Amino acid sequence: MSKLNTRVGRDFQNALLLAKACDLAYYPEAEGRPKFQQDLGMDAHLISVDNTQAYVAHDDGAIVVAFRGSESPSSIDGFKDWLLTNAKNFLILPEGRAGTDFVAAGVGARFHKGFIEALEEVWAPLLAEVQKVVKGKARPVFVTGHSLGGALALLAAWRMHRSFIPIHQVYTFGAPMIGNDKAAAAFQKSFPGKIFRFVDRRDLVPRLPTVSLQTNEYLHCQEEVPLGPQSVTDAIRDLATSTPQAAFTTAIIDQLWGKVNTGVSSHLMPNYLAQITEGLSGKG
Amino acid sequence: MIESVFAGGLLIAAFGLLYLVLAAIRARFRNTGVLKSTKTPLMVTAIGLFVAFSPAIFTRIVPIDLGPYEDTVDGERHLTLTGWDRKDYSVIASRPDTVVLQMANEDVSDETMKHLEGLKKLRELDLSFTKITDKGLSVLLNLPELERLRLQDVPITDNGFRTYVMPHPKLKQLVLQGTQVSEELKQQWLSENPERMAM
Repeated sequence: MSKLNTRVGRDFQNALLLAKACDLAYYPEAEGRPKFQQDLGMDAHLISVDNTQAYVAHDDGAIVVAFRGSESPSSIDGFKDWLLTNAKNFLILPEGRAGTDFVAAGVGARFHKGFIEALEEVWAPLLAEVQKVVKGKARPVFVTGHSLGGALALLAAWRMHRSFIPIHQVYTFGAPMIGNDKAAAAFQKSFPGKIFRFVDRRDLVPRLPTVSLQTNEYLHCQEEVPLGPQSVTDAIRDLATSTPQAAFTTAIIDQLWGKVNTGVSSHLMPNYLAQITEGLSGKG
Repeated sequence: MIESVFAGGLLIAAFGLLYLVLAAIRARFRNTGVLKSTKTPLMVTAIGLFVAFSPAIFTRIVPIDLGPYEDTVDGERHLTLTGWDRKDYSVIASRPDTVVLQMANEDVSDETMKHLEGLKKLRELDLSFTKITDKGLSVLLNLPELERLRLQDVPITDNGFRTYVMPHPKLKQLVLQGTQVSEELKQQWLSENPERMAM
């Protein structure tokens, strides 16, 4: 039996298990494989090409595809990740077969160039692995990822769906936007009630790329599952409006900086795990 | 293309800024007017920034073309009409070499299927979210190479499935979610050939 609940609809227990899988996706295969076995009871295999990594894990009852997010942007590798993926925020349609699969969302749909390219790196071996596992035994397929990994999870779910692999559910954590309004509408139509986008209100990454300097507008896929207290921008606005202008002192600046830092740390996986655990105990 | 315009603009702006700093230093040493000697570098910077942001301005002002989307993949024609803003589906008949056709639009009906009759090379067809009925499926008789067919949320029944889908010799992959085709019939079709897939 799988620990994952394979019924329809949102499930906080699933969210917790998949958030765990997203957390494990940051480990190299030698450490990740035993952890998947130990924590989730799943047999996992890492598919890694250049800057994109995903674990394909399965047990008797379910298949999980978990994408790794970007490394911390303060490291060299992380900065390279950021430059090669997140920063390339043009909205495009790719060339070739990927283009046919994505334009199936509609001739007006456009997607984030960096994310599309990152998925393309790993696509052929990833699809082969998922097909192999599905062929072994057809089971509900969950796709998940944190941060950049969440964006890749959504795009991969779409291409798997176009490759006749039925997608059960997609859970993302702190993921940025992947495409324009038409793309979001097509996801809604093809995955009704199957996408759950967990977002900590204080996390700033899901607001990206809100103001793209290079291209047309982005829009999120639904459904959003808000977590945590007040958002950082709201907190900063409250702070600003409750403060008389003259009193804009160093203390206030420190408070502001503290809020911004919360915005950054609330994006990290441990925070999401904690928030979902809290939601689980609160909502049952 | 758009990307190189953006990058080129940034490069010009960076050059302009460097030039600006040098010009300001030179003006200080030579005691000439700062305003006068920085005029050109300021202009260069401004032009660079304008070039860099012109793609953003362009994509915001000019709407995305919602005409047919065509691409050649491995020498084969892929045609997508899903989400287009036109009404005339005869564009399909004028491209008889189409191998992949995607037209998941609500205004596609049994009547529209007549435009597909000459597509002897068609291997993949997306008819999801259309209003075609069992009658419209008769077009499959004219599509000998068809392997993949998508019919998500299309009002077809066991009748059409039995008459037109089951006897088709090459069909391998089907999307039937949201149709009225029964699970038994689907399983029967699947059991006839291990290569077949349905969702």
